[in-house]
Amino acid sequence: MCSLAAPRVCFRCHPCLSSSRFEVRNNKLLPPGVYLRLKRKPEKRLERWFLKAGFWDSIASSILKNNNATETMVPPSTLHEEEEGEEPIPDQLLLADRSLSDGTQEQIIFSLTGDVDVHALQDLCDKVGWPRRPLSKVAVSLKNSFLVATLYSITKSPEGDEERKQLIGMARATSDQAFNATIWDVIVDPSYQGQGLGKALVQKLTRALLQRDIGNISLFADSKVVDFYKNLGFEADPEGIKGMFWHLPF
Amino acid sequence: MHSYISIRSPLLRSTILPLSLRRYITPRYTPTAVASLSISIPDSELSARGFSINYSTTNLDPSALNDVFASVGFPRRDTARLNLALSHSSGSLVWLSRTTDPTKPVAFARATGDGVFNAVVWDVVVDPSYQGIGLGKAVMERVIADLREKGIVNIALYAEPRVISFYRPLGFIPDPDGIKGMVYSRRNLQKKKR
Repeated sequence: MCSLAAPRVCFRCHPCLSSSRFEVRNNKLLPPGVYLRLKRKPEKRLERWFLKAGFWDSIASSILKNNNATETMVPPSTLHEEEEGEEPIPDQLLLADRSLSDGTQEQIIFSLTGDVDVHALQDLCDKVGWPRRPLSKVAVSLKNSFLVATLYSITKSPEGDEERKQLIGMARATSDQAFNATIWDVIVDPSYQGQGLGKALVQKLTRALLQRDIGNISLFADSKVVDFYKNLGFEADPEGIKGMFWHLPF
Repeated sequence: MHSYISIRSPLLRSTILPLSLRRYITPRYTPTAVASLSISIPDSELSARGFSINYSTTNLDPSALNDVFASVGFPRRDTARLNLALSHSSGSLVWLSRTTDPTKPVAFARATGDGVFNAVVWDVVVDPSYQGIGLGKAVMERVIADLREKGIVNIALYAEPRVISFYRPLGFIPDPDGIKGMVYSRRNLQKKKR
């Protein structure tokens, strides 16, 4: 019998013969309602963390230059430039900077550097009720992921002497680094949910993937969060194409 | 059912065949699950029919692969990007070629993933002149077996409506527990903005 809480579907290598055996860890549950508009304002961007991602665009242009008419796939970064006059997603991005009621200053940072402490990640997974996984395997899975996006909360005490950094969200994408990417394990700390942080996390990750010329970004969503991803531009069963999972025979 | 065949036949055969041949006939078993690792056409039969099985990109001619993509209606890919993708198919890569023409793929499949938990299978193709004889199935079974040997059990893929029935007998279920495959579409986002 699966000891894991519903509604999470679980899937492990144990002989769990219950019907819920598929694990898809995109469980960002946001109530419909008001989201903080986390539109990036130029003056808030911390200059010292800005990393130019023009490197990727230069690769794309060098590859494309001598293709003939049979080439049907266009790297998304060339299309993407038309939208919003967008700059590349930097490695670290300040999403929010606010004072809490007790006087502490809190900053929410989005990061693509991918250095995640697996113990912090395990604590986060415990908070949302996801099953634990062997830490060594988690470390390997993060290393083998093409992009790992994280949300950190940095709180400074009013006196300014103590600084606490806490992992409050993560999403990762695996990819062949040329055509396809799949987003897995989107997670936000329950006490930080409902503020639009999950949306920002997935949006920034998606944009970062597009800027690296990954044209096909996919994911597998629990039925409860399909609408969340629809609002972010994801389409379920496009043209009738279905997601299928392999299962152990009964 | 496949699991029935794989459990029964090796027991029978292993008692009759000499030890030297047993390796070719007995299906591969993994420590994680004894039942279910059924290979419908064993390696020996494939080579008897003139096909070679390849698990890496050495000898694979990318432009020949592009030709197969085009022949089944997939878009052609830029060769450099295709090579990049093939080198990063860290999950698994299996392709068949005719022994007489070893660089040309006649069946192909690759899987990407994080190497421990998840894998997604992409680009499953069989050259139209070789379809209908079980090559697609052969390639898929080997990809699955390879992934499972690495301990990856969460294997997913995206299937067009007309090939869903191809993947079902291989053990794939569409939308299990209501899980939906979703793909990012900038068109949708632009529609919303207006």
